[in-house]
Amino acid sequence: MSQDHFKKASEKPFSLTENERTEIGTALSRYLHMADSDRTALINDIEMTGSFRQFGYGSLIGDPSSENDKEYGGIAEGWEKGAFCKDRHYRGTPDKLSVTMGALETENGEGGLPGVVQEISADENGEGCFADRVLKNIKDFALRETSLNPIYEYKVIDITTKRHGAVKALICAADPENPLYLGRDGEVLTIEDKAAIIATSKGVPDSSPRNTGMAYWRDHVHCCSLGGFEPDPKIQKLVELAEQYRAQLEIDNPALFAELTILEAKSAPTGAAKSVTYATPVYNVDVISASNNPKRVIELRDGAIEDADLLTDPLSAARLKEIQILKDELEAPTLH
Amino acid sequence: MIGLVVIGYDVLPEAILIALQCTTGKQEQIIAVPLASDENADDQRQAILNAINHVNTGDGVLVFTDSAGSTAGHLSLSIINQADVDVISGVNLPMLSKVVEKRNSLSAEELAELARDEGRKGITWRTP
Repeated sequence: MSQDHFKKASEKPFSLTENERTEIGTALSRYLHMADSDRTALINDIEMTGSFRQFGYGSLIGDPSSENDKEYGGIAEGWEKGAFCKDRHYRGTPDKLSVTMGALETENGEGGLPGVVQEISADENGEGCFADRVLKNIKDFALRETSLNPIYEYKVIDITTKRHGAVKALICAADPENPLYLGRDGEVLTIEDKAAIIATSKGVPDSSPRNTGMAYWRDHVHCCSLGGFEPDPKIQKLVELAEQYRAQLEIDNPALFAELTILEAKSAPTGAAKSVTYATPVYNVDVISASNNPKRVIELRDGAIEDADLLTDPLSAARLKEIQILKDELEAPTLH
Repeated sequence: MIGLVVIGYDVLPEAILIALQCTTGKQEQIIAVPLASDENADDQRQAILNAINHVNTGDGVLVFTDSAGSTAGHLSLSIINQADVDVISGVNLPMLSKVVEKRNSLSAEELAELARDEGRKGITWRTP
């Protein structure tokens, strides 16, 4: 083979300067704590494809962290999502944690997690500003993710797509080593336990437009619809159960029911019809009859919270301070 | 030929097609789906699917919506996989004018990209 052939094969469609590689690598490392192997894979992919992609499987679908050039459906093969994490701030409080979503690789390597790939490309605005756009995208994403509920680790995985083949994308994954990791259904809590917590939890006041457990999971069902797919059957079961418990709460504890409903009625999911708010159930359910569920919702919830030790804040003051420093940095106007 | 569906609240989609055809002449395989605020979401979804089938001759269909976060945008995205269509939000006249001009010579994906780019270019800001 000729030298030209080798030269052509090694040519990258887009080249970052040494300085740009360093800046992007530093942002991935500092703000997303990305492992070296994932960071290298992502930077190489940016150069090989001239594109940077994120994969959303939840709220990112309805509320992207940055502008993007193109969105398309995709599947993370061998991944699943579920109520795998604790929430100490947005839907729960440090002294009464709630349950939130995460993605994990499946135990048997089978199955697939549907979602939406959000892409920016070098050919959209010329090479000169693409590196700046990538950096801005990463920092916008990091700002959104630098939260008081730091549950995710950030990985680069292959996404199978209909039109674009396999592409690499950044994903938020649940981290089993994280103190806010809760586990799959049945590991620490059953699906019923999680549903009772979701149906009754509320976050630190005004910390999110989805300030209750129910609002968050109802929003997830709306986001799936925006992505053009149904929620995972296990998640559908979880949310249906939570809706049942919520309906039962109106009888068990009308005061708490009213308080949560008022919070939920303040905001609405993206693209929802005029009359729909987060107080609107996403599934029509009947109140569970006493014969099926002799326990009251609050009793079930309190037992679950105790079983999973959701009464103790897993985050240290030092960790919270570290998060605030990063947040201040990301919000500083001198950044790109 | 690639089929075109324009979805939005009330008279918006029909009005934009009237305006379009004033400058480009009468167009085939293009349809407006006006949404009423009191209509059931399943009925609206079905109306969109019917419109897509109506203009689909096998070369693909592009769906244009008034905005990404609207009911039209939401409903269109909810059937994107089922109907196998590309959805472009923020429809405007420059976008549609270019699309009808080029829809015989480009693939659905190329046409969608062109629509987005022309739509963006069509928005300008001038000061005195």
